[in-house]
Amino acid sequence: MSGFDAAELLEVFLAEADELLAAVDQALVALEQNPSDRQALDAIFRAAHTLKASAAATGFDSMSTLAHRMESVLDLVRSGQLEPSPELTDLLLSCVDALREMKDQIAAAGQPSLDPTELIAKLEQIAGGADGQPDAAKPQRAEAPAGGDSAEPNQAPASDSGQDQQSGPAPDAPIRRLALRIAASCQMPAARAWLWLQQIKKLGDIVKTVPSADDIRAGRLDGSLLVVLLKTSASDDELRQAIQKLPELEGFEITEPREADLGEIAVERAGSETPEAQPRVGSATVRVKVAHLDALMRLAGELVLCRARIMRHVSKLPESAPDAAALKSSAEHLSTIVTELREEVMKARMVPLEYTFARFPRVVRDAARREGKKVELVIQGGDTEVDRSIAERIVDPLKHLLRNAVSHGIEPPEERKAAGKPEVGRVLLKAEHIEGNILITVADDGRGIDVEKIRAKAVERGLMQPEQAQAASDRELFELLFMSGFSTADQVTDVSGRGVGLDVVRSEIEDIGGRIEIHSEPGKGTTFQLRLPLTLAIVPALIVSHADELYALPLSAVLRIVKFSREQTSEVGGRLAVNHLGRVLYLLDLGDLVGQPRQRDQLTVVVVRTGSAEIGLIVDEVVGEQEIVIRPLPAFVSRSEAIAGLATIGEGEFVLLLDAAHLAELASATAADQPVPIEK
Amino acid sequence: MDARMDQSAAPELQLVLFKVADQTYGVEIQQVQRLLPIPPITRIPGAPEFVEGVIEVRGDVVPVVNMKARLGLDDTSYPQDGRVIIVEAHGSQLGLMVDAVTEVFRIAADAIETPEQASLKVDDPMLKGIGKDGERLIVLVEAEHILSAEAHQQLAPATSQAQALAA
Repeated sequence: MSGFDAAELLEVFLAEADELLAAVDQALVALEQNPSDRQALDAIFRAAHTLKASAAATGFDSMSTLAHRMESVLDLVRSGQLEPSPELTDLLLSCVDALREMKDQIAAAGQPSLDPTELIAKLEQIAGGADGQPDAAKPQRAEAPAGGDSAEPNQAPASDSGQDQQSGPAPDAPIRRLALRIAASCQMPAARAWLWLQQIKKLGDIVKTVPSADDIRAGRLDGSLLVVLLKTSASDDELRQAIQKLPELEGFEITEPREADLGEIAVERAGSETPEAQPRVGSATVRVKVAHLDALMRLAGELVLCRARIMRHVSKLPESAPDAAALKSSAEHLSTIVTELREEVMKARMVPLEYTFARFPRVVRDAARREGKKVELVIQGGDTEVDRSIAERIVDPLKHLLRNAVSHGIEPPEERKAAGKPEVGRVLLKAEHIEGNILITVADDGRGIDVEKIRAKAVERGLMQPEQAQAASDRELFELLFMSGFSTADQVTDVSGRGVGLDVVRSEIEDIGGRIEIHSEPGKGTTFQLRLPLTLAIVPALIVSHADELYALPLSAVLRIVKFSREQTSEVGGRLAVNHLGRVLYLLDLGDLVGQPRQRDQLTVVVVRTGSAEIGLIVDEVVGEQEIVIRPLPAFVSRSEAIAGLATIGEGEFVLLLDAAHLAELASATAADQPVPIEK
Repeated sequence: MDARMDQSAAPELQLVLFKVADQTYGVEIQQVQRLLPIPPITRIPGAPEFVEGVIEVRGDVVPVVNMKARLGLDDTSYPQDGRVIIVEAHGSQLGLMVDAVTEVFRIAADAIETPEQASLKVDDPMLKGIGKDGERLIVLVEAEHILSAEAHQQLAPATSQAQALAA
């Protein structure tokens, strides 16, 4: 029997611990909001229990002990002997943080270095104070010896074969058939089944499993049933006692082996391959390394470009060329396949947002507690899938927006009561697919944005003339919130402030090709909407040319294309500018930027926006829109911050990707230094 | 600096010889991956003056160094039939733009003198040694030091237009 090697087992453990800890975080927050939330309590209990077992199975005893003590305390809460309290929740959350840190330490160094003794003592104190005999309340887990609880602390996790056991079963020991059902809620059934097998191995020799050990190891576990034929000297009672300890077990049965099973054994021993006895149903999953997915995505991107070249050549072929028709139809077929392939690869990189969202209840809870507010976070659309690179990069922006909603949006309870609103504020976090984009909404039902306050501040800061501020629409005023250093909060709080503002959120979202918008209604609340692309690697771009060289701008940063004549421009603060839609638009010549200046009378201007800054980029010509695959520049080649990377379009032909954020910086550097009066 | 030569068990080095402005240079054959006619090169704004731009070689983005500019010569133009030598340096590819590639040449390792031995004052890590072939002098070039952090700093710091504008 082949097995997971230790590294693979560790990987499974770490991934599982990650998911379990996220689940506990979420459930603890739910429990705090509603102390009688039985479901949340059960969920935390189950997660702690599972973590205890898998940490013990991988040999991380301190983690296992901590999880076990959490489990004991939770059991007291479940049985009503201990009242849930914010202090208890805080302690449990600290425990979760400690477990997470230990998990990270294991991932980084192979061993946890954090010592949870103090937390364990606190938990024991609580458990002892409520009951005196923490473990007596749960006879079904009475197997845990006092003081140390992992049943097999130093068991090598991935000993490869049952035959290695020191005390194997007697040669004439009977074979028993164990049928075990994995709980439907189990996130990783194959990994769980594998961990079970590691435990079952200790009871005897595993003769056969269905699905086969190889299949389980490869992540192929169809359905939820695991059948094990075990040659064992243990009595059924002993087996039963051991098996019911297995985590995420829904049910099990111990019987005589069936004739069919034995027949298969005979065949297998004869060494011939037999087709799988059980029909395969349901969808199987395999864990894949992210690096492979990234490589696949890159190759698919190259293929898309290559297809474009082939299609271009084919379209130029004269009808009379030999095999023109055959070539054409083959090229079209190829084209369809490439499209489908790319879609499949993109799908393979998709992850549901729920894993990303799982940490946010905690974020909102912590913020609310610090601010003395009551807030409920409602999450919708967690099953929405996005490219994993995007899922990773929206964490910080969303965290910021959620903290922002709690500290600036939601009113203190008294104020809400006075306004006739429910005391508990509501923050909605919702994800959905819209028109090939992902739309993420962060909405609160708080006081809304005070537009007058923004007006006053805009005038005070010299950003607008009083008349202009009066005439400005809400939308234009909201835009100001995205400017760096522009905050309407009277004091910067630790929760949302941290010295950074919405400008950072916006630039992070725009870095991944997204856009952000605000809507707000006084007294009713504020809504932030993030529109994100499905993937990062392939970006729709506007291709422009200068001096026969091609440059690309991410389409998400392009607002519009306008033509001006030289006479329409003027010098403002030493910089070339035009009056565009009632505002000063600074102009930057692509020629100056790339070191090839030129004289022009007619100006083709691409209006680029990132952050709150807008800038007009003068180019020779707009070539068109095209999807490009972005690649980094080789090292030591350029120190220009204006170039973000390059992409191939055509044979050996590169286009340079302009860094929109950098262009905007050039624009705002001037704007901030020299507030300029606006002529209408 | 001469670790490679000192520990070399073989008494001979195999060099790919090339010409830049009538001077013969050599690069060790192990570092050479392929030779190309000069392809269209994409200029990179903000690049050091001696970086001509980038080309695509079998799907990779490869920077090309103008060896004349790298050596500080005034005339940095190349004949129509010039060549680009693709070498491996720091685990990635690098193109050297040269006038011509002439031959593969064997030379005894001990026939190569370091710049110090030849009592030449050279302050460029790229120039690794000098070999004699009768009257002909062959300058041995170390690919790893053609485009490196030091080379980037020491030589021709490119004025970034963008930075100049922002200032």
